Amino acid sequence: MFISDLINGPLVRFSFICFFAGTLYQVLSFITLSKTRDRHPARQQRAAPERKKESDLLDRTSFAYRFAMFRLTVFGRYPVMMAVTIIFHLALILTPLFLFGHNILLDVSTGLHFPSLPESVTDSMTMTVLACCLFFLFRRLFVKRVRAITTFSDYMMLSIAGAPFLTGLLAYHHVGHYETMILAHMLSGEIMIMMLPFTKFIHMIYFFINRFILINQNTLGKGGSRVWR
Amino acid sequence: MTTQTEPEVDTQEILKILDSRKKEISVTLKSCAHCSLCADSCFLYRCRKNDPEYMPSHKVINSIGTLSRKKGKVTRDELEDIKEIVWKRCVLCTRCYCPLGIDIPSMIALARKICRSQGVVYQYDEEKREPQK
Repeated sequence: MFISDLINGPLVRFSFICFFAGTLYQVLSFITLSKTRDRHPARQQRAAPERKKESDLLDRTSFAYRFAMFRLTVFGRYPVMMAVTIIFHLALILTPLFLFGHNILLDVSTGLHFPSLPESVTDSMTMTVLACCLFFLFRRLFVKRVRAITTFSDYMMLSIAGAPFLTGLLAYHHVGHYETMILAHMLSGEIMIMMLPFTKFIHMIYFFINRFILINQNTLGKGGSRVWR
Repeated sequence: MTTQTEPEVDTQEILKILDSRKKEISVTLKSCAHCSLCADSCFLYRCRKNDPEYMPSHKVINSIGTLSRKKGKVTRDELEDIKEIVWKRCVLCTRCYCPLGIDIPSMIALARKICRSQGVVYQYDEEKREPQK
């Protein structure tokens, strides 16, 4: 069958080439379009000799103070969303990497051995990803502030992210026609991998660039080292 | 009797400014996951009864996002709308927080620059204040 041969063979290689080449392009274009600059001024001030501190009325070491400060962070403001999004992203990345079936295929085709998690664990992780997708969908549909900025592409991105997990789960549990389901699983996975460096999934790369390399008021770590030209 | 007409929008000038920061704009608009987690970091959003129009992401999408999507081909009315967003709904206090690290204030400042290049600026002395609700 021509389509299944295409999905099984050349398209797998093409999608990975797209992913690695696209990621490289994004990183290189960032490097060429940015320049180095000294550390964040605020961080430099922090390193300056310490001045005599004035006595503080607040006990900044108390639990009440620390909790009040925590409540002001994005984790304190949206604890459920933050918990769901962290679990979702971890499961989204780790599940395909440590899936027994994937690693068997990799072993057979390339001879590379990777550790795998028990199938019951990866099965639960897949269901977790799908549950998180449903959470994001309901959030997009029913939360006013999210709905205000939601576009068709957001639903598409959510579908593209969820499709490989849904089809993989159905294929694993032999729900529906197995051959069709596994082809749909492979095709949806390939589409997702191909789209990663060029669509909204680009935040996978730019999260690290924006938060650790680019200098702005929210840079983490050492305060960043580059700015846009 | 002469009728006063609005000056034409200089698309080339807008495009020149947009092109000078093309990649930055593209990365900003693509990286934004439309998660709305930036909402609470804007004091205006919280003061205006959580009106989504005051969300930092909403402001970026509807200002620099519109200009970029239309490649600078905007009408004067659209520029007036953008003016309302970038001056009236944002004071550039730079306190907005994006978990993905998008520099929202720099994008708002860029939208202001584009508006200024077309002579569209906020007239504080002509501001009609509505009673606070």
